[in-house]
Amino acid sequence: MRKPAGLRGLALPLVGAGALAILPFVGASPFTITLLTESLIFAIWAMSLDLLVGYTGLVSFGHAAAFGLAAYAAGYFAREVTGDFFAALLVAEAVVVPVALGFGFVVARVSGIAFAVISLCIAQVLFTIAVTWRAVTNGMDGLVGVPLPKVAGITLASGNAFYLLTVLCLVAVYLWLTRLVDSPFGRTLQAIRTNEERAASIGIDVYRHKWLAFVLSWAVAGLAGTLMVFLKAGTTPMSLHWTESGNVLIMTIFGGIGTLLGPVIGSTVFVFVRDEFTTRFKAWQFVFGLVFVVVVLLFPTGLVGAVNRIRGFLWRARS
Amino acid sequence: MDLSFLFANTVNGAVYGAFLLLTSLGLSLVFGLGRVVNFAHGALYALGGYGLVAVMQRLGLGFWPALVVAPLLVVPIAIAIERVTIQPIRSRPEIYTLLVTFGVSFMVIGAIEYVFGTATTLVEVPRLFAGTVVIVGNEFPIYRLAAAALSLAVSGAVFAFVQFTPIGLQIRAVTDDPGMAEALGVNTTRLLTLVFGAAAGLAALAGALGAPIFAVHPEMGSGILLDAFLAVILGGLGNLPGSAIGAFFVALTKSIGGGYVADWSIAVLFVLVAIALVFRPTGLFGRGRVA
Amino acid sequence: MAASRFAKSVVLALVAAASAPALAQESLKIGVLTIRSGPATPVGDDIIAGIETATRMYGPVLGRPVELIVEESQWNAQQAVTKATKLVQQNRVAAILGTSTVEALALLPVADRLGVPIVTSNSGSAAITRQNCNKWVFRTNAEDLMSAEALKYLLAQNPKLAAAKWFTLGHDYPFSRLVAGTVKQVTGASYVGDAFAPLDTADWSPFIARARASGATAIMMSVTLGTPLLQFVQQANEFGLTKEAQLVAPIGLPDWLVAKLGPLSTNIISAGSWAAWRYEEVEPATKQFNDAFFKQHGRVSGMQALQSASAALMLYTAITKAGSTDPDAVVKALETVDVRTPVGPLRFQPGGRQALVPMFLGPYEAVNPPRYGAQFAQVVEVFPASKSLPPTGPEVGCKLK
Repeated sequence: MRKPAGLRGLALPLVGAGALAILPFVGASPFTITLLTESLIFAIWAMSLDLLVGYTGLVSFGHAAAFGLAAYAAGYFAREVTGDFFAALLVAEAVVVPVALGFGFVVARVSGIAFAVISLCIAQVLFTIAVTWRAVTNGMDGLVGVPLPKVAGITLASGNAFYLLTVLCLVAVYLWLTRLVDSPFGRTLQAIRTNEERAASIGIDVYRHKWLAFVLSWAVAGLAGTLMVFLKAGTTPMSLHWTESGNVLIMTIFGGIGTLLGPVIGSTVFVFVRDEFTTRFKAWQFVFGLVFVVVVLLFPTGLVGAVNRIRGFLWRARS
Repeated sequence: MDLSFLFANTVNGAVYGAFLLLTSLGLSLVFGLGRVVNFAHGALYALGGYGLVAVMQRLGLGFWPALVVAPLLVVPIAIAIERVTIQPIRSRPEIYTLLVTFGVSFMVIGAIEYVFGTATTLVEVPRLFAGTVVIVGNEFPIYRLAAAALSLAVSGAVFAFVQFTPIGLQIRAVTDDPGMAEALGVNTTRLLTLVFGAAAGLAALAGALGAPIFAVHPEMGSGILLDAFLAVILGGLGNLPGSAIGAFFVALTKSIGGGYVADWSIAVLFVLVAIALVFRPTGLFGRGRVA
Repeated sequence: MAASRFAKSVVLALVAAASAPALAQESLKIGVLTIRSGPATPVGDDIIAGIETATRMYGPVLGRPVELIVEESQWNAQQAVTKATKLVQQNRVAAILGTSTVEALALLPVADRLGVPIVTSNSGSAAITRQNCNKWVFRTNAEDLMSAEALKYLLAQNPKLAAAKWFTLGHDYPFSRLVAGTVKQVTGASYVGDAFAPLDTADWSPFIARARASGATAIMMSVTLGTPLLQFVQQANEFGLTKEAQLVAPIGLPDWLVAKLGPLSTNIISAGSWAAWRYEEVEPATKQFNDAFFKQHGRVSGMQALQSASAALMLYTAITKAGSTDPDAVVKALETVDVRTPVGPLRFQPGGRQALVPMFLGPYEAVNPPRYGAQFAQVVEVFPASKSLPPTGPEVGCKLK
């Protein structure tokens, strides 16, 4: 039984957005804002992956493909033509969506491990192209010289300004995705995740739904890639590498799949924890792995699940 | 570029294929048996290499005794990992064992760096097999050929074990139909622990065997993990003969591809794997369980 | 390998620097951004070690103890930007040292946002101080186009090499392509081929086979300076390639790598190292540094350490000259700094950001008796900056705003 979305569904994202937006003005340190900007960009990316993994049941090992492709397209356009953010975003989507349509056509035929591995292969092929097509991508050195982004003619020169743009994008994506997963389309995806064969047997066009979910997830990832290329003033082939795909998968599952909030929390925790660990510990890999293992073992539904469990526990303890 | 060049690459590819097979067998067995995707397989491979170096340096053993001892040291570590991190979550969807082994691999590599440092250690080729031999006008290091032969021998022994022994029968039964096997009295939990340990031993042996060729360093397992993964997927998870074909396919593509199109060779491999999977999602030779 | 090794070294730097009578002064924070994990970790280790020794030798600065804050880039451009931002925003460093090509290229476009001087001692991409030059980013090591000149000189000097059949073998970096292009240009018809391997190649056999098949007698190794190069040389030796072909290292070898290769290193010639400890035979500043480095770290100072120490010295001298850590003042001071460093007297191009730095060519040989613990080292022939680099910034396409 699901409660109607209505006004209640708006409360959390709007309050959350408000809280995020006022942070720079209530004393958060500039570096915290920097890290948060990065976290929220990853959050958008992770939510797009959750659409595939949590709602459609398709685990992708190559989600960096969408992200990196958008980064290169948007970055190249921004450097050569104009740094207008929305124009660059449009260009990025104009590249990402057709590519997703093409790959999705092929990859929507399969599921499970085959899907995971083919998505990995796609990303690695794009990675190789980025490294070898030096004329356009500048090879391993990467795309440099992306200018500051402009919105409606105003250059977003400060970290805070760009942060607010990111918050805006995050909220917009979150609202849109919550509507989407509650819609008939979204419910169908979840039916496919639960049992693909049974869904097919009741007449659902599984292939077409998977294909569309794939394209949509790439499109949203494209927004994240565009934001990132402006934040870093460039990109390299590493943004397409399987280790990046691994990172976003970790963030999504860590946070809790099948809940759009999970990826948001997962990304933020991941970015902040990684930053703290890599500074503090020379053996950060060990500590990182340990924390990871502990969370996976103890909190099967991710951090969001953990929070819910603790809340439930407290509620029970009280009564 | 002529036939001689093709020949050289084919032989090198076959050599790497044998080596990759040894590494991939464990991965395939563990997945087939328990649907566990062991992301820490590469880290266990690395532990084998470090075990070899530690045993040779600290205990003063020669290369060959160390080659036997190192995997034996890794097996208990693997069993402990399986008991603590994998067994408790076996009932959950497969993605979780992949995640937990991902975390474990970080822990193992981090621990290696902490204990042994981040430097690379070169291991000398054992004198018995030093030098090269000329085959059809091409020079090949004797050690590589010897290591390939040993890999094939051990792999063959594993095949035989799975095919002809009672435990092997249990393994095949559980791989085919775990529910039925349990009903017939097979203790799948204990079997998985044992097989996981054995798989780690094989990976560790491969790491130690490869040390004179690829050197010993903390990240030594990640490249071969990806190759092994591809090999096993291509062959069909849990399908041992399939893994053999998958391993040689991956190795030959890399070798011949590397020889002819160097920078694109990696892309060629991935395109071929993707195409294969689109047409045969359960692997080229997968049967029974749908991927 | 203590987890807090760098914390220990920070404390060491503080203690050493505080040996001069100091009031309860706030420390002068300097950021070091480099590699601390993965196959190139030893490079990062050397960079940090060199800066630590330099800090001990030349600190305190402005009467304040120098505090080194090390951040890891994971050899990843995006992480580099995040960590550099952290150094500036959170730690408030006065300047950033370290960085290799990956980090330097990543920081270039955001340098204006960071607003502190960045002195790199380990990046090769020429564009950083040529067409993409930036007010904030200085470089003390030789860049790729300078290395190309050194290579030309080596070939002109060495008739056997000039007559050899050349093959370039390395990873797929723009630098590899540049090197290949230079070799092709210089050797003309004697260029017989190249092979650029994917980045995580561990098995070099197909590429070795290709070099063989082309009949190469000289191989330019543009392989990543770290584990991959070790693996390559070992495998090349196993296949007997070293008997047929001369191995040439375009920017030389770090000394920790030379130590690991041992006798294998004598198969290699450097076409222009960024620094060489045996320059001490000529330059007193080098000897002084080598002694201090060996005393502090127990090993010979390698290429990256000598370079990073030189960068640190130039930075500290500039800060002293500017009288403050005000970024613009330090940048202005850096432009005119002229100081004797472990790679010789060093200053930056007028109107540019590249140091007029020499390179060091030569083969590797055994050192008898071992010195500073090194049994093998490069024989040093100096190739001065005047022969490899136009003297001013604008002449190399650098237009500073």
